[in-house]
Amino acid sequence: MRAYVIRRFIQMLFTLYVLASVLFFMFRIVPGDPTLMYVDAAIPKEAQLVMLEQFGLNRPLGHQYLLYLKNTFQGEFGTSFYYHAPVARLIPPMLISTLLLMGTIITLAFVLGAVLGTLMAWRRGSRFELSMLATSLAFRSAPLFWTGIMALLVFSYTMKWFPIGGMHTPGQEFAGVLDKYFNLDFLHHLILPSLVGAIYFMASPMLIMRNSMLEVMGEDFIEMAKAKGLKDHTVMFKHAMRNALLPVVTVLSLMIGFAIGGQVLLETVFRWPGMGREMVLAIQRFDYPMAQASFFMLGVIVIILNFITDLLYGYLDPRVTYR
Amino acid sequence: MKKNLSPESESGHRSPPGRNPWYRWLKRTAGTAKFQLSLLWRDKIGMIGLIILVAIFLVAVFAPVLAPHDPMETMTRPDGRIARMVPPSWQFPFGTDRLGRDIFSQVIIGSRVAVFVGLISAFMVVFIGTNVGLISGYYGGIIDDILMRITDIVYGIPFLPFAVILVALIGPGLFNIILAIVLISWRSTARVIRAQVLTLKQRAFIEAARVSGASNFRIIYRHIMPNVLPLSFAYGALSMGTAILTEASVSFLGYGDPLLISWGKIIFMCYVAQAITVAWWWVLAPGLAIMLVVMSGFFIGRAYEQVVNPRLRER
Amino acid sequence: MALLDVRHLKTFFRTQAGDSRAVDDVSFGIAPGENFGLLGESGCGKTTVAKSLIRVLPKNGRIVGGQAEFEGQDLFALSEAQMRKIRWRGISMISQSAMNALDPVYRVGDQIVEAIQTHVKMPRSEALERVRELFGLVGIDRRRSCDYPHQFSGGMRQRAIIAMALALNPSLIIADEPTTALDVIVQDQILRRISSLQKQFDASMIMITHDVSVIAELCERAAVMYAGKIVEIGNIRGVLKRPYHPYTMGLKNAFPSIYGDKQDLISIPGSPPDLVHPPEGCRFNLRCPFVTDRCYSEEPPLREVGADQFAACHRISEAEKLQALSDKKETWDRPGEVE
Repeated sequence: MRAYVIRRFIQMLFTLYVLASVLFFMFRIVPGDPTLMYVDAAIPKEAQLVMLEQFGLNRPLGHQYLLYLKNTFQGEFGTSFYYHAPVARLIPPMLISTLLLMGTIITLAFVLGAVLGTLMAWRRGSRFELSMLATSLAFRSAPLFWTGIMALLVFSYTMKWFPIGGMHTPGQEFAGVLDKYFNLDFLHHLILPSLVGAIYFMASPMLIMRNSMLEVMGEDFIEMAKAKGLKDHTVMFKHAMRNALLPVVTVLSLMIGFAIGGQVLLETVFRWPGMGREMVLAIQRFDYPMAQASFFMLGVIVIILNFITDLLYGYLDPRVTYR
Repeated sequence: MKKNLSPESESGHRSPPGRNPWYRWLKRTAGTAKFQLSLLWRDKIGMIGLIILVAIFLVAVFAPVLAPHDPMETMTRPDGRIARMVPPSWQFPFGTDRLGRDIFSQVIIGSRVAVFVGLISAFMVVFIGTNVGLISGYYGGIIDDILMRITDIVYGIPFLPFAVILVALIGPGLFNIILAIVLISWRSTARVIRAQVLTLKQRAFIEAARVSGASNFRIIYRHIMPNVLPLSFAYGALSMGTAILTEASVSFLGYGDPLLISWGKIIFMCYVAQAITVAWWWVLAPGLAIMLVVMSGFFIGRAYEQVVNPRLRER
Repeated sequence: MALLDVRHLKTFFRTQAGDSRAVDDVSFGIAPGENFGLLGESGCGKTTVAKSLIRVLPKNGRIVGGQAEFEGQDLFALSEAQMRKIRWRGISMISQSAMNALDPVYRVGDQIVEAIQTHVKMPRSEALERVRELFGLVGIDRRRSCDYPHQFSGGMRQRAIIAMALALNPSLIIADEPTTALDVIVQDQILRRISSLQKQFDASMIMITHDVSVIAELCERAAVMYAGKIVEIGNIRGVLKRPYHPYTMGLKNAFPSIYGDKQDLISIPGSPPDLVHPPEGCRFNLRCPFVTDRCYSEEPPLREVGADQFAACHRISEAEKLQALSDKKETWDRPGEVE
């Protein structure tokens, strides 16, 4: 197991490195002066020269690359053109907002999907199965931002059950991080976007779980479990589901990459102050340092979550860790 | 009808005799097409998906003829005023937008972008993904390692943010959007095809082909590929849906092609005009259109999935 | 008193083409401590009989008729909850593919503990001790109870399954092709062990196999099944040495013998009939070298042909002549040509 963890960890570091490099070269494709990426043309000349020096923009490309990697590793992303503050300081609260919403969505989607998928397989061919199939596919086919807009229209504007976006009711002061997120107001704002997201992302784990369960239920060890005299629900949950879970966890990694995209859309529609929304805004504002950092952080989230998923899979499937 | 439809069977198409190789290839492709259709026919839902897809395709092809008005033209009411924000009516089935333009026409014309993006992306993804999967799975060893490492790394790049950034950097054009989609989407197809190839590689008929002196190229493309094609098509249908959704998302965020109307762009324009709360019809129609097309892609994908995995078949 | 008395068991499977009559009126009895063989080619219904007894048929299978009296209770009349109590405790099963009979994500020892604890209130430590004891009996290193199935070799997995089958001291063990997937040497070891353990635990056994040699070595009585029906049943000497049913005669020929003169292997040409639309009359009529007109219209009932031997054939009176003919290869080349 330890070798597996180490291997995956090294791979994670390598992927982070590749991500940073991709970012570096992508921003150099842009025609025009690459220094505009880092240095706000509006700030005074001396300040500009200082920044040029810091980011090595007056040095050869190879040098710049190494300096860039060093800066990224240390979390030095420059100063935001828009906020006029170090990007590194602006990121953490946005990161937390994004993680909270995304975490809720993924957990809900995964848990609901797995349970419903199991039930679908157990009740093969029933109306329940078909209706679940149709509903989840329908929601998966509709664009996430559209579902969000419709949800806001119906539940927030018309029925007034939920607030119209945002993370908190405006005009509040908080004592600290815990106070900020552990309150009912936050929860009230969290519900609609997380439900919209969960319904969208639920389809995949649900269908995979159902298919996986159908395969597993035909396996000999399931029959053996029944022959041993185990109760039906024991067979279903302890043996079938546990085995069927494996492909679903694989899909989880895939889902995370898409979930980040979903975050961008949901945060925009619901005006949730997270990393995704910030990235879009930053691009619109030509706030390059912020845009780069946001994109990088989103990538980091995906990569780290993928690593955790890999660990989870290794824990669930003992065959994988014994190479 | 006792046809052997399991993917394990060899591609049982005999080459039609005589004439030149192109004729033979055409005949064989037609045979494959008929075969694929018969696969879909078994699954009613897959057929529905195919019908919807064909319908939308036809709408896209004949869009200029089908659209009652010019989507960019400001419409006027009988009394001379501009038909701004008109709810759905006989004259304007989907209503009008803030500039008085007919949304029904916009949706019809918008289908062209959807179909184009969907089909091209699906094709490219299937092409690249299948080939990577075939080569990686068949040759194994270092080639497999390298290709799989690349796929693993691509998994680490978040899809939509990458598309947005790329488009923002190199310009919001349709081809750039398709480029972004294709660059990332081939990874899942490649993985899955590779897994399938790994199991097929060990089958007896591959051994037989090798023993009879077939070249690697021939083994891969003549023997293995036809057996993974249903899986490729399944993922192709699915990636068509993803591509359309991605294009819609990119357009919604404001980075769609400025010269073209797409369904995502229609919703974007409503959002930007801050008219969502007052003109629900503006948003409803294009969203439903997207849902319809993507769902048909899923139906087709499911049908193929059932071919590959017979245990999923109903009854 | 018989341990198990099966009467007129009928089990059908729902298929797209209709109901497949996989087990069609099968009756047999097993005494306590007896090793009973169920012999036949794949698809003849022997595994279905086993699964019907413990009622673990797949979703499209159902028991259409018959009774199975086990230790005084009709298994088919019990509720699911009552049946669960009997499973494993009264009747356990060693299945065909031990490779896949163990759940890959749980440790082997834990799975046996699970079987034990489902039926008996026993603390985990005690159950684990029992597992180690059982491992010793079947010949697995006692320390390996905390390993996962994929860490066991094929033979070891089979032994683990046997250990699990014995865990609750059942009165009846069903062994369904327990050694088919193993190589010959391991086969021999396992079979010997099964045999000695059966005697040690004083359990009855149903040995299901298509391998005549296995039945010949281990069983006291046997039934030969074909296309869902029992065609011959009785004590082993009679059935294998002096078979009265042509199919049994054919089975004998299909297996090589190390002793004796060099014979060509004679196989029975043709394949089993469609069980959704079984043929009228005797089900073996299309492949039988001794078939007559009567065999196409009238189904032969099981008739007593000797001391504890029954066969279902219209020509049992000519059995000696047919037995001699069945040894010759030419007999089998042309079905129905022998008058």
